[in-house]
Amino acid sequence: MAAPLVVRERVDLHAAEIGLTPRRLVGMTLAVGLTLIFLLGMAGGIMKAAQGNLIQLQPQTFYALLTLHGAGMISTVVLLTAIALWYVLQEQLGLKPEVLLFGVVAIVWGLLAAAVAVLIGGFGPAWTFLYPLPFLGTWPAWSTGLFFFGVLFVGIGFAVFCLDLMAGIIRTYGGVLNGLAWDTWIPALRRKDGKVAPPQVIAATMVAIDGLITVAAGSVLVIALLAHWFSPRFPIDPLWIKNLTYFFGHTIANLAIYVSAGVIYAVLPAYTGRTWHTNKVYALSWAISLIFVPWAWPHHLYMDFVQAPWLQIGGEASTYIATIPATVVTIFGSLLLVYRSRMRWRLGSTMFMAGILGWLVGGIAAMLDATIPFNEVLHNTLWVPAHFHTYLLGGVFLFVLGFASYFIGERPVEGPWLKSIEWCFFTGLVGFLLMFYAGGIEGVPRREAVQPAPGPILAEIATGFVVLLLIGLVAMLIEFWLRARSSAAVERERSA
Amino acid sequence: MKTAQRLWPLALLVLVVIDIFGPLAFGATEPPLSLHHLEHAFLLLAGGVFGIAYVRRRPLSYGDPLWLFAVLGLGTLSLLMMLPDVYGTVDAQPVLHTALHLGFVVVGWLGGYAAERYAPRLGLGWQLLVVVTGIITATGFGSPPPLA
Repeated sequence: MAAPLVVRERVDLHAAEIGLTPRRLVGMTLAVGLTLIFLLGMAGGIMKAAQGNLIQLQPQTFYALLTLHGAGMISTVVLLTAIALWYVLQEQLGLKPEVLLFGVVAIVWGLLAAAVAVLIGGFGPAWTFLYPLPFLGTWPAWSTGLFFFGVLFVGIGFAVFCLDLMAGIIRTYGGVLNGLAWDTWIPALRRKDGKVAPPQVIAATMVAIDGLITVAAGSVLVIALLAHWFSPRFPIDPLWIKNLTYFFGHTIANLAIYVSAGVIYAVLPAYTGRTWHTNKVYALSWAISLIFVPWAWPHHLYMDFVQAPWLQIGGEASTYIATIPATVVTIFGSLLLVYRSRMRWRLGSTMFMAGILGWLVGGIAAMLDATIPFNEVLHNTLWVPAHFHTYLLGGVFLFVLGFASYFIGERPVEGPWLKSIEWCFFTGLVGFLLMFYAGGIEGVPRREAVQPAPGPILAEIATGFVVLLLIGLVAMLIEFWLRARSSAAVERERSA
Repeated sequence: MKTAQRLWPLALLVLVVIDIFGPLAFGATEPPLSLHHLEHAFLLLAGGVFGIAYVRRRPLSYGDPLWLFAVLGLGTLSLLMMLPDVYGTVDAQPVLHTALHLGFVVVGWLGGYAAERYAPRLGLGWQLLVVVTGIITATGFGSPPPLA
């Protein structure tokens, strides 16, 4: 028989003593994360300007910036989406801020370590750090080790988030199967109180399980690389480690989208005034994504002819099977939620709906690239960064901005200032992405400091759009800061 | 049903004891590296089962984040225990090798225990980490390329 539970209150008291409220923690993390996104975006803009011959950059500096931009953006986006989902679920699942704080600190430490390795050490084998490149470059050995320790810390931070989420789901819904709403299909799982997990909890459960699988793969990868760094006698099979790198890298980037879906499920109803209900279709779609998302990575290795054919075919099939169900139910669900709802079109809701469009376009571009006959043409061209910038910058990041706007509080009326910010931001975003796609269609290779024609002219035009995008982003951050200040003032008046 | 519930921990314990002390007693040959990784995963998993079962037999207080951090630390430790520089030293000496295998059971036990102390049934999360890590290490951790 299960033993009675004794809930310990010491931890909660400790959190209150140090003033660590969920709102303060999330607010601080948003501020740090959005500032990092801006700085890393600047690094991206500098790379574009160098490719467009607008400025001169040493190739070593270019590849170091490329490494920082890639690793930093993925880690920061994971951090920002994770805290957004944590915030919308923390009351419901009884999550504790000090646990999240540990996760946030681990990820920020990881990012700092990677930044030092790149900016001081000059570490530059790109964020994919494909073996044996990290051990062959011109950078010092310490920067290689420090970078891998940084990746390990980011993994630990994400693991904290996943385990804590899983614990909260089990505590609240009695098990992960109920968290996935399988009780809508299996009567034996149904709870006596009739409580069914809402869609955001289904998404969180899927993320927690797949996140742990991804972190396990990432730990083996980083420990193997660190072992080789400590002792070069430690043997590494390049194909094995490449598979593992993409298993970890692809899946963690992919999971940021699914984390965001959870945020959409929780926040969009606040704008539409409607509730998002769980049903059998949702439960089934997310179950399919749960199973197939960790199997999509082999689509990055189509050109590795020694790879087992079943992995190549499985990768293509999994990409389709994993992506379509959850994407379709989320997009259709969002549209139905908005249709004739008299939704308040504010900065947050605009960002959410635009983000859904970016998710859709980026997803289709990704599936095209994951289709073997297309990949024969598009592999390692600018089409690849085009698709992941579409669903990360034009999708996930817009969800983060939408969440930030919702979190800080919307303005009752949006004036021309806000409209011009949106226009500036979206014009920059769309133009920048189109230049990437044009480069992909023209077969311009990616990850190159010096590109063949028409790469430079496209990069030159893209630089202009990046400037617009960054101006829009800065203006949006100023808007958030102004709103946060005024809501803090209102809060102070209330308490006085 | 009750007999089966009483028997399975005993059966698992017998398997673990044979696995750990068998080579020492009978001088069995070393399995291939991938199987050896799976053997470590089995020992961690079995330890985890006992750790989880132990917590469920006694009143527990849960929620202290330290238990969660212990889970992560133990997960990393289990991987570090498989590093050649650690493993190579003990591999040639049967007694030390046996002790290290016993260590895997202890780490597994602690991991399962710590996870359950943080939240009931979170031990499943620990076991998931152990299984996935075991499978992945078995596919090539510490192995040279096939043609090397």
